[in-house]
Amino acid sequence: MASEYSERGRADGLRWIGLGLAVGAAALAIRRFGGRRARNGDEAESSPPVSMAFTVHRAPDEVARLWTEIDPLRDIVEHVRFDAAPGDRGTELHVRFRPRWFGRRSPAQVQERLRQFKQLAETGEIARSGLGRGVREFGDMPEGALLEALVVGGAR
Amino acid sequence: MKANCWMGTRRVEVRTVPDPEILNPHDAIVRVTSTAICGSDVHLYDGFIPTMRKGDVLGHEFMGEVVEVGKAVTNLRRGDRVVVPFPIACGRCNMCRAQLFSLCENSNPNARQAEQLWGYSPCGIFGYSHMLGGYPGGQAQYVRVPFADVGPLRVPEELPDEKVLFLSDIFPTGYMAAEQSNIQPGSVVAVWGCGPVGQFAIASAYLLGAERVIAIDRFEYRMRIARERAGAETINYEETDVYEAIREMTGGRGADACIDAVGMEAHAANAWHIYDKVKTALSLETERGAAVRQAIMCCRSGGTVSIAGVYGGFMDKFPIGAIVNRSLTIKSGQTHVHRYMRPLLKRIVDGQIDPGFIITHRLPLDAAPDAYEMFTNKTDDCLKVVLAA
Repeated sequence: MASEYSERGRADGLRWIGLGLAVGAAALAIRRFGGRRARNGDEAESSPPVSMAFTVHRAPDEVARLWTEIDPLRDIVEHVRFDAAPGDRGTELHVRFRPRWFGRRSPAQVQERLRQFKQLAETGEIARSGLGRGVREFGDMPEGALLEALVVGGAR
Repeated sequence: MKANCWMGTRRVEVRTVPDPEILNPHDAIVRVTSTAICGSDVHLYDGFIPTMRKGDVLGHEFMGEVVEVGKAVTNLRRGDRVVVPFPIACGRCNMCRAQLFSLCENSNPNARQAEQLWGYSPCGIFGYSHMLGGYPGGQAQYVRVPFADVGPLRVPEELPDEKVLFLSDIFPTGYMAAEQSNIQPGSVVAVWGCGPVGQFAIASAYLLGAERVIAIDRFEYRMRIARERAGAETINYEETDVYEAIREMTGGRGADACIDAVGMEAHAANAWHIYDKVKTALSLETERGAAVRQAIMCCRSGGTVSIAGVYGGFMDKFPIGAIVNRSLTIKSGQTHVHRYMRPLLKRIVDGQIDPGFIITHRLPLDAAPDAYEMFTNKTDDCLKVVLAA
């Protein structure tokens, strides 16, 4: 997925080329996540699992405790692992899940949830600009506020 | 409140917008007393930076008075006079702990967008596009400052705004450009661009022990300030072949360190300018790279090229062969301002430098549209505009 995202990123300056790339990326996504669904109709069971990772600058047992408390990807993550990051950099949080194209299970949304979990765990808040025009920032949603209420004070 | 808003390419407007509010526990609200227009704001003004939206509040160089703090901010209180660094940094992630504040992992709500363009996201920045957070900027009467427990620096009452305002960006930016150029006793440093960052790069190179600093520009008023106030020798690239001049001035060696204080909208007095103009107009590249290309060619073998100018995307004809075959070191980065504020404030207090020497225009916030036009077109010998909010 990473190469698809970076290709699409150039679209900002080069809109038309970007549109083409987006169509291409969508086609790839359909091939990647959609192919098997067409055959047996249950994508959550059959789409190949995807792994994602973030490093959180807190000890593995603390990250594990927060993960259990917040449970940010309930029903989505199949497997989660908390490894000590090399060089005293905290914890590598590895998750595995079966993606869908859209919604909470899409790789993009799962990645944002993980990023926000990291923000909460490290700073006790979710970054917000105050004007997520067009894009509703997670921190402004009720579940975002709830998560912050749980974690503020837990982080430094 | 009143705020200077981006309304499209070459259009800014002072508009009435909602007052900022505390949104997060580590926020503060600052009433702006002084704010400045940065050379990098010109890239926004000229439409070179993507993900700007109509109505975005501009400005990332500002200072003022704390009027409200969030519940987790314990080091600031109402009435404190502060300078605010342009990068927004949480102070707790791995990058912040390594003092790489402009690479903060937690301050950009739109990190995903930046990752698409650059691989990983840098920090959020005030008033500098949605890709870098979409944070309203400081060319306004009030600003919300996230992670106010980490960024804002309290400054002594006896120092006027004009002496400390530039700790927010350009003085640390010029300083970091010089600091990362490996300046040694006897070093000859060449600086492309005699704008505000170039002036501070020149001054900082001397503070760090450079023997000679050569500055390159084409506007006589800028070169005059570089000579008279910052102490550089100057080359007008429209009149002189820069490579030949630097080669001769350095006894055939080339400059030990070359600093690019120009960035993505470089102008050149040769065919490069036409090449880049055409390619950027056709969206086939996103930068005009004449300054950094020349800086690389003029650097002595084994020397350092330090890039302080802002670049956003992809450049053509980047002379990678010169870098590899002549063992050049390239240093760059958005400035880790937090790292430099205290040591540079000390240099100001000690009287080693008065950063106010670059100010040519003092105007009210309402004059921002005219000021942008003047600064961009370099009319009325404009080098730096400070706006009183």
